[in-house]
Amino acid sequence: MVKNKNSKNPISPHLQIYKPQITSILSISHRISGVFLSLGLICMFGFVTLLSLGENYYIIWLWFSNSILGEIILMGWVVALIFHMLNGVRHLFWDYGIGLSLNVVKLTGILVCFLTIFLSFLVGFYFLGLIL
Amino acid sequence: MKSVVGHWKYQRYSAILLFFISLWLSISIICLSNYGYNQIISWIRSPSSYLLLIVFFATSFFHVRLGLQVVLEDYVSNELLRNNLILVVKYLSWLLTALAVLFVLMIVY
Repeated sequence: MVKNKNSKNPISPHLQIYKPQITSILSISHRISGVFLSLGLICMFGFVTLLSLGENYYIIWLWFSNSILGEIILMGWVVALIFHMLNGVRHLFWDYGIGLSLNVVKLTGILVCFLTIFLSFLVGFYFLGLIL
Repeated sequence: MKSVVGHWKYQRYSAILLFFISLWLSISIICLSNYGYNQIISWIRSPSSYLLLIVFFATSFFHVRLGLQVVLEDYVSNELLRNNLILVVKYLSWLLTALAVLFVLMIVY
């Protein structure tokens, strides 16, 4: 970075200049959901820790998971996991050279978005006791 | 991870493994969501559950470590800070994996 600033080479334009597209939005969303899910893993680690410490400590988990804020955060991890898994499959197919043409990339991108919304609502409704 | 090719490959291998384990774990959690403390404990105590749970934690922390390394490499421009943060993530992931395995085994035994 510092080296580039001192040289006379042109620097690449800032991200804000580009028009947001499904490709770029899903790319950055994959990263953001990944970082967010790593916090979810630590939460899950905390869950197992509380379980192993005994029923008296498990109450802390119940207090968290039954609070409004806890429910919102947990639901956020559900959405992030569904998205990251679906979009991850897309990435794995790309690594095999499958689905790389622009039309297919856009189509599978939209498919990932719709599936994420659909499955998130399904899980959300289940936890709210509205279905099954 | 020193080898870039190794990093790339292991990120994919762990992703494929995690896809199936996460599917299993998500469905299990949905089925267990109305269960109490004792029922969750007895579920973990069955060999298929705790073994897969241990594999899940080990693979997840490994996958998180590889993923966060890429994010740090791309967004932290200070080289010293970047390398130190990557090391912190690396050792923290090993530590939490070891602790997670320990706590799961504590539930089982």
